[in-house]
Amino acid sequence: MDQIIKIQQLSASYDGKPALKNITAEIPENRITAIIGPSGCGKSTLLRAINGLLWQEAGAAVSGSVLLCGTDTKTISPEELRRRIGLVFQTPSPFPFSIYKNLTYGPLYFGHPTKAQLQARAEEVLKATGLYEEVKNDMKKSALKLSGGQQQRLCIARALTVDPQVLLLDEPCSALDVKNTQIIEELLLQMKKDRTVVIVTHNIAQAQRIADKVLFLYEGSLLEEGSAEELFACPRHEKTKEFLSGRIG
Amino acid sequence: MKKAFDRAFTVLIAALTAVSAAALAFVIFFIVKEALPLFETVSLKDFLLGQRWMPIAYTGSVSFGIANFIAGTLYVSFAAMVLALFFSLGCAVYLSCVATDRQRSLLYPVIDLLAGIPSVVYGFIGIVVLLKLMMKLGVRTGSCVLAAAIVLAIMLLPYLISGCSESMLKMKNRYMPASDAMGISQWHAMAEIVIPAAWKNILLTMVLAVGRAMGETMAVMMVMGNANLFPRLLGKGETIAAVIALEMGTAEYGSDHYHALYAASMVLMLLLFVINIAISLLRKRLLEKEV
Repeated sequence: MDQIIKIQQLSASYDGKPALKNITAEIPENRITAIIGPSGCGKSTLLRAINGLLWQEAGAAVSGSVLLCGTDTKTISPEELRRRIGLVFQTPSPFPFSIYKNLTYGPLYFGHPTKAQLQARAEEVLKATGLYEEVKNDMKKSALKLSGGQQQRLCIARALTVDPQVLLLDEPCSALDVKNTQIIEELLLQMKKDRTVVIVTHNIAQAQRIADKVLFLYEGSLLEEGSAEELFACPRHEKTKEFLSGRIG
Repeated sequence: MKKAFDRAFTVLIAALTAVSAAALAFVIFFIVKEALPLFETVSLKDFLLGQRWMPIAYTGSVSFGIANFIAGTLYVSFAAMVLALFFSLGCAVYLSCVATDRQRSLLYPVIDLLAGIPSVVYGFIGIVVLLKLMMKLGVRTGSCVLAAAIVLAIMLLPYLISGCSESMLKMKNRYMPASDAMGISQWHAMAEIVIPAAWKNILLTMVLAVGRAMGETMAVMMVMGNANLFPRLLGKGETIAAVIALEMGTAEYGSDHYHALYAASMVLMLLLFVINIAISLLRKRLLEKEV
C-alpha cells in the first residue's frame, strides 16, 4: 500500500498558542483515513495543513512539512496543490449561482473545456454523488435552494469536478440527518476506488463504519494511529480508550 | 408596583414614537397645505413642465415653471452617483478583499469621517479648488453641473463605500473559503462570486445614495451656478433644494411665490418618497430570496 501523503514533524501555532505538536504521519493511497479526537484537538488544523491553507493563514506559525507523492507541498503552487487536494467544509457552502454553474466554476478556471466536456463532467460528478436523479431536470436552479444534505453533496461534487487525487472532508456530516449521512458515507466508500479520502469526524461510529486508517489527535499531538480494526478493537493509549468510551469528547 | 412602572414606561415610549410619527405627518400636512393655494392660479402642468421661473413681476408677467429645477436635481444626483460609484466600488473591493483586518479597522473610521464634514465645507472647497479648475477648462465662471456633481460625489463616497464594502465583505467571508480551497485565485473569485453576490446590496446602496444626493442643498448650491437653465454637464443649473433655500427668505408671506416654493418642496418630497418606496420594494424583492 502506497503512502500518498507524508506529514513530517509538523507543528503549528496560532499567535503563540500551539495547535499542532510535532506530528508525523502517513496517509495511504486509495483508502479512507479518519482523523478523530475531542473538540479543539487540532483535527481541522491538520486538514488545512495538508492542502496548504494553513501556511497562508494570518497569525499561524508553521514548521515541518507535508509531502504529496514525495514532493514537498511548499514547492507546489497553491493552485496546483488545491486542485490535486480538494477540501469540503463542515457547513455546506455552495456558490450563489445555479447548480450547473457551481460545477463548471472549477473546470473553467483550470482549463478550456468544451461545452460538451463541461456537461459530461457535471453529469459524472452528480452521478458519483447520487444527486443526478434529484436535480437532472433543474440544473439551472439556484444551488442555495437545495436541502442541506443536497448542498453538501453538491459541494463534494464540486470538489470532484477538478479531479483531485485526495479529498479532504472536515466533519461533512455534522449538520446532516441520518439519511444524508448514510448517502455520503456510501459515496465515500465508492470514491476510494480511485481517490484518497481524509475525513475529520467527531463521530466515532462514523469513523468505525468507513475508515481504513485512523489518526487520534489529542491536544495537538498525534497520540495513536493504526488501522481502524486495531485501533477501535484495542486502543493502546489511555486517552484513546477514554475518548472511544465517550468519557472525553 | 413593578407592573405599574412597566406599564407607564410602555406608554411613555409609545408616546415618544407617536410624536416622531406625528412630526412627519405634520410636515407633510403643512407643506401640502401651503403648496395647494398655488394651483388656484397656476396649473399643475405649467408648474411641472414650465421652464420659466419668474416669481416677481419686474418686467412682464410672473411665471412658475420648475421643470429645469427638477431636471437639475435629477441630473446632478445621478451624475454624482455614477462618479461616486466608480470610486467606491474600487475602494470597496480593496477594503473587503485585499486589506487586512488591521488596515480595515484603520480605514473605516477615516472614511466615516468624510460623512461628518459639514456640507458647507465641501461647498467651500469646491469653490476654492474645483471652480478654479473648471475655469481653466474653459467654463466661464467655473460654476457648473459637473463641479456640483463632483462635490456631491465626494459627499456620497462614505455611504457608498461602507454600504458596498460591508456587503462584499459578508459575501467574501461566506464564499471565499470554498473557492480558496479549490485553488482558485482571489481575483477570479472576487469577479465571479463576491461582486455578483453583493450586487443586490450594491444596487440598494446606490438608490439610497441618489436619495441622499437629491436632498443635498448647500454644497451643490455653492458650485452649481444657480441659473434657471436646462442642466448640461458644463453649464449652470439649479436644483429644487437650491431654489427653496435661496428664495424662501425673500418670498412674501402668502404670495404666489411663497406657495410656489412650498409646491417645489412638495415635488422634492415626492421624489424622495418614490426613492424610499423603491428601496423598500427592492429590499423585499431582492433580499427575500437570500437564505
